[in-house]
Amino acid sequence: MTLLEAAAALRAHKVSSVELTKQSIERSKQLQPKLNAFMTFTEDAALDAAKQADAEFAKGLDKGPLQGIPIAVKDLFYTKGTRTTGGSKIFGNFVPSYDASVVERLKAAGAVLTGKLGMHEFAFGITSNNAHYGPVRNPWDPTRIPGGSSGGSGAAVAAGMVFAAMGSDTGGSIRIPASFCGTAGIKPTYGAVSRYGTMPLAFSLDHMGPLAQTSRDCAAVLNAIAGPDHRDAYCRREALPAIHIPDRPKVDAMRVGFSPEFLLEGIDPEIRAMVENAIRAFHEWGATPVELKLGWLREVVAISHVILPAEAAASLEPHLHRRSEFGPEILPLFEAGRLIPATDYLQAQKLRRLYRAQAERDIWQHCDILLAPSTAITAPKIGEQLVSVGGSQQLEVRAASTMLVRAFNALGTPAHSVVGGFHSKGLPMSLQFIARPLADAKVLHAGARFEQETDHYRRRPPV
Amino acid sequence: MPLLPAPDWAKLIEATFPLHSEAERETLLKIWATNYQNFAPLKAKVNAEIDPDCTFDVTASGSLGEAK
Repeated sequence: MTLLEAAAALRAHKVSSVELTKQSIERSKQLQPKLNAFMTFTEDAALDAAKQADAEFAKGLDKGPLQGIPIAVKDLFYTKGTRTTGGSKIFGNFVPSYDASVVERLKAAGAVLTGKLGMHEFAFGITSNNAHYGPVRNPWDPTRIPGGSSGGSGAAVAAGMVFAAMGSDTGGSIRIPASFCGTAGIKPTYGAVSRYGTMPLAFSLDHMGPLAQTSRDCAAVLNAIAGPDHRDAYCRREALPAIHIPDRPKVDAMRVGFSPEFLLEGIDPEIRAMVENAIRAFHEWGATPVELKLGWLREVVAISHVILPAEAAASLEPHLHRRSEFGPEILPLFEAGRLIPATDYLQAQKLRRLYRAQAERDIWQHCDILLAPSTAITAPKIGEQLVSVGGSQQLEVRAASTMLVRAFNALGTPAHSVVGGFHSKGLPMSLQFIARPLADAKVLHAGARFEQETDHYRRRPPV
Repeated sequence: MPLLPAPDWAKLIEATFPLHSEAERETLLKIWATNYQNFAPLKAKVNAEIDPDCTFDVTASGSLGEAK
């Protein structure tokens, strides 16, 4: 059942929020030893919220599609009175005195928060193989990573523990777990969703967004959490228009861009074929395919490798002397950030504006959405460092996971992942829709149409 | 003498982290080699003539630079 199907069932009195919440918590706890998706359960508060939702339904008060729906959040969103670790030992006992803006808005929309989800330490990595709290595991195959850094969010949605989960995305951390776990997820336009009350990794690249089973579910969550917030200096002053996806989203006037250069190079051949099939399908549905040459996106990836570690090191600098409390894989990434000269950081930010202008000129003047894989590979095994792609070629897992997503953090565009199909290994493959800043509705419409035509999202993992 | 195209990371590592072990220094050098060295040639694209950011607008929305 998707989030919107559950919302309809609540309104048809086929199920109560208390029943949904009990089922959600029971399933989450049952699967916890196998998947390690949760850091903390908030069972009592969840049941109180569910009772309140049921009481409001009984009074005829309808707050929208999230009312009474079990949802969980990555453990970097501040939750008043509930431990918020950021996946770290350093904040292992940190209990915030206030809720993150996103948490406030989810509660205001009537969502039932069932707990906090596991993640890669400080969101600085893509495996969610956490040195302090153990690995989060992939529901499709628990010997594999769920992706990261929002690995608990991907695993919890894919395994049907919750109907949606909040994640954050600084270099792919929503879209990579969506890809490896077989869910939808959206990194909205930069600044569309407030970061107030979230642990920062890199302030100019951090985006907050949902993972859920479908594009429509993602839109429902995004409508609830997006909007101005004066407490986040980089939150946009104007709200995104509410996103309404019609029953059968039209794509016949849509120009669908793709780039064999870079975005389809050096990737698993089955993933490449999945994207090429999707391009053909959109053409059959009336869209116009547009071939682009986007090899220069590699350069955007290169500048994000300067910006991200420099900002991350600045964020965590007060704690970097506590070396033994960092996981051994994480510490060098922060320390590398301390070595980047201020001049290079500033040049990277200037270059970023040039590339944004280039994106306007070379991408968005020619197409409405850009279609690409989310990741070059399917979920690797836990502990795997190198993966084979198409025979003899080997790629480092981190690079193969991030190379197709990072650029769109630096460009600030909306980027939306949906289940694109299934690999012969039985693992999900993921399609990424990207559009110009503020065109979040376009990527969700395209994703919803693809889901409607293919039904890949209905296939569930064997847990 | 012209500027070096990129900072000497080996020297930076030694100066910044003098107590690091050889293995820790190797890890940092590997990060430079995989993530950072590709940046140096890109800097040639930035010069005063094409700098779109001659003033810093504190009301701009971060990465995008347009008015909020």
